Amino acid sequence: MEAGRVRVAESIAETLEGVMGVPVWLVQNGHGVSRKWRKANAGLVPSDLPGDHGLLPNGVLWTNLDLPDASGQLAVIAGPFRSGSAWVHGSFSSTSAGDSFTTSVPARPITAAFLRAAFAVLPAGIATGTVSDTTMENIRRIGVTCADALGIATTVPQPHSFHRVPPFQQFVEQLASPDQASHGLTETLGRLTATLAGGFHLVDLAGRSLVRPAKYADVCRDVFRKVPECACDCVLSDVTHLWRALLLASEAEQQEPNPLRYVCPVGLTEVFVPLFCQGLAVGAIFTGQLVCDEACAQRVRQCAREHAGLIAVDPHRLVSEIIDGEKVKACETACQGLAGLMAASFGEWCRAENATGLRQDLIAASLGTSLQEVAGTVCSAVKRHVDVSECSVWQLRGERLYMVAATAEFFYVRSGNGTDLERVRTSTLVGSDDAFYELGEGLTGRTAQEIEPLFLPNARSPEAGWVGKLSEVDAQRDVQFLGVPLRRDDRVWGVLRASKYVGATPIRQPDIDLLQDIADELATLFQAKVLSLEAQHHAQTFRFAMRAGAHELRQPLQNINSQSTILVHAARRVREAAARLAEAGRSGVVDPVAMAQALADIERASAEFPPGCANIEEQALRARRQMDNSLLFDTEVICNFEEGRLGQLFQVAEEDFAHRGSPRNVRLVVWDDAKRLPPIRMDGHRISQVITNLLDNAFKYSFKGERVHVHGRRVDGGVQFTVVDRGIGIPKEYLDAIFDPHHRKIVEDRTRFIDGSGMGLPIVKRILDQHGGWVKVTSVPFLDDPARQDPESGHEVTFIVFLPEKLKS
Amino acid sequence: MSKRVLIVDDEPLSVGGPRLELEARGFSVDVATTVAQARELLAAGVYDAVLLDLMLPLEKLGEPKTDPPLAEHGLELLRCIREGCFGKGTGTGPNTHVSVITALGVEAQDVLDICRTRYNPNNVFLKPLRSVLIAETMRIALEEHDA
Repeated sequence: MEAGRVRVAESIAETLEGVMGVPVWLVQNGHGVSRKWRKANAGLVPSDLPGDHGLLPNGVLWTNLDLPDASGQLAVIAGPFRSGSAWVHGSFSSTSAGDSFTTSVPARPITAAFLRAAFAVLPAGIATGTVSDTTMENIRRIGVTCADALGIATTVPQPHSFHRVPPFQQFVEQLASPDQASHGLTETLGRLTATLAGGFHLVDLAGRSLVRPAKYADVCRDVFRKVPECACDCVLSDVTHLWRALLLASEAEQQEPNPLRYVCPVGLTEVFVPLFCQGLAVGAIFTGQLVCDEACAQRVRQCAREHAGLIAVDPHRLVSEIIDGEKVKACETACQGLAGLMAASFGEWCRAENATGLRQDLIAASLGTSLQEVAGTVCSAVKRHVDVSECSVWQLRGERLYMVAATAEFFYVRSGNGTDLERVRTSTLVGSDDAFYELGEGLTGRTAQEIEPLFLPNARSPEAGWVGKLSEVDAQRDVQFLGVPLRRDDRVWGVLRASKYVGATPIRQPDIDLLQDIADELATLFQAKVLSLEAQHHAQTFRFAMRAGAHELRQPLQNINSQSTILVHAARRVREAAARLAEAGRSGVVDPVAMAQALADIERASAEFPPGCANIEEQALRARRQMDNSLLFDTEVICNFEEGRLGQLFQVAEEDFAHRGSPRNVRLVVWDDAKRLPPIRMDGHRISQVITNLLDNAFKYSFKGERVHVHGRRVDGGVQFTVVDRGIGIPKEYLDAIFDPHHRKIVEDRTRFIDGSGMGLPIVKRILDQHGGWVKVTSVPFLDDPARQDPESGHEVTFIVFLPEKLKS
Repeated sequence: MSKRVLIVDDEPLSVGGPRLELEARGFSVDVATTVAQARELLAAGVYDAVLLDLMLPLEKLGEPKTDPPLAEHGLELLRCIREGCFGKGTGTGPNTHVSVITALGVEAQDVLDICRTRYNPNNVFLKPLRSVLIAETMRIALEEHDA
């Protein structure tokens, strides 16, 4: 089967397993497509399943469906099912209403048609190799409904929860090693061995026996090699799945582990003690002895007689190993004691292993080059070591939380423009500024305001602060929420949040403690990354500014050179003319014409000096301003803040720009409301730079004969002024880019810029950022005036600048 | 007959000094401030040497046609001069002495490298530079060229 179809089958099986809480296989023509289907699994299910569907005596549900592309039959096999402390059994019956079978617990008929209909959606998806979100939703519904119909609560835990338990074997080896102080374990194991004559097993979740070298199922297989189903199908069954389901059911019940007597359909009883540690199933102890009553012993003897030669073990010896009720009790007690002994230290060991593993992963995470990479590694690490369904990391920028990385597929967030919360795909959320939580909004927002981690066992309630809409299926399951604020240096850098469906094993206290322990490390990691990235960004901006400014700095210097050469020549002419006069004076030859000429020469030449020197001064000022502008982007250069009036700066600008626009008859009009603005704290030198840059821009791109208007007004918290011009506008897509020095390439491509450096508007933004203000620009078209010579349609461009009256600390 | 030099630079103030010095050495100097102007002058006359700035606007200086000064424009003009696009009899061609004078520097090393290797000017002056030096270099280069 191709990879696409296998993947679809796997995800379907996983989804059904998640909802029904039992293993699910999808089998095509005897070959597993959702997972490896070994012949040995046939112990659970007979090789030829009678009819279209059924519920086997051992609680396994199966349905045969035809694949639409005629490539055979697809069998859906799920189970075994357990309800409470008993296995679900079923029986068929044929009534006038059609085929049906009833289950033991509770007594509820399931029609054949229902079963077929329920699973019928699966083959289509598998045949095409794709399955849509809607279909997956429907599959979840199928699982819920099936389980409900079978009388099984869908609160059975996910089968994957045990995967993250650290290797049990190591732990046992450690405990049982001679240099360990806990001889208790070795003793107890010894006693059990003696009591049960070696007939007990200590297994981990994968079914590996830790006391006996072989897997329990293999041991059984050695004993019962070719025994027909009637006697031993449950014994030959894949024990791994069978008692794993048992374990998980016990986990769901959240009780002190009671020993179970597992009664298989032929009546054989085993004593089974799950090993729990702080609510976590980690393994099991059970007797390999077959404890049975007299009736059972009869059956086994009968079977053995009929199939003599097929059983390796002497059937008489086997049957003679019947243990009486008292011994069963002793066995149970011993097992319980062992379980209790191990659980106590296992808890600590588990915690330490998880913590070590998680910390190692954090170290690996710190090597990430971007914040997304770091956060992504952290999320997967948390999901691997802590039993949660989803994990995500959010960054606090200003007053909003933006997502950095997540393992879940969807989130409910507020979109930039919307008032409602929307279900947004994680892939579009990451790195985008459009969707966010406000501080205090939603569970994530709430966490950011906390100091300690926030754990809510029933998060889907408005009281808890839940914000979001739920699909029908989701609404049936409540969620546990764990949020860890990443705090460092009295500041919240972000939030790590994780959640889990209620009904699965809950987020355990050790896990909460673990996350709290590492919260500090996480916060440090996060803070270091954010600061380092910020520093890199600043450095790059600074580099841009310096490079752009270098060219603009050399021009005025060249102009000074050139101008001084001109003045040198002028001085030479003065000297020559003076020399001629001196010569005339010495020789006594007086030539009025020549003298007048010489004086005129001196006059002309000296007249060049004042404007020439003025030019030099202006160019020097230009060079200094350029240097200042470039240095603005150095983060350590601080502005010099004083109380000042914008009105004064506007008046100076009026004088400066009085003649600037004359070639095209563009004039500056500063209105009274701008001249009368209240005083604010600002760096006057820099703000005059802002005004100059904005006016330069307005002047350069105004149409002929237009006016540039400056208005001002007082607003809440500060002052605002606007610079309005009418001319060629700014294309909508560049409205943000023109302020960003990183978008300089766009700026060069025929949009509005100030000087050759293209840094004029970024400088404006930078200065305003330092003051705690902001700048916005709008470009609104207006209808062409037929009287105007320029045929292009015009835009009215407005720069709006806000400056706070007091600076935020 | 005096040798003719064309200075192409969009900064009007930076032209005055080199112009004076070149005229003092007997050159006749024309000035263009945009690529369009330079093309006009090159097509109409014969120049022995060109002093070329790189960051030039195409047509209008300081007009709202958003004509940004770009290095590409200067380089393109240089290529035109070298390939003799201005027709026979104008004297421009692979042998025209072209000096590039530019305010670009170490921050635009890639542009300067491209300029030197691909467009092949006779030499590259980096601003700021003394006008006397510019004029003397050009004078000596043209004398050698004649010889």
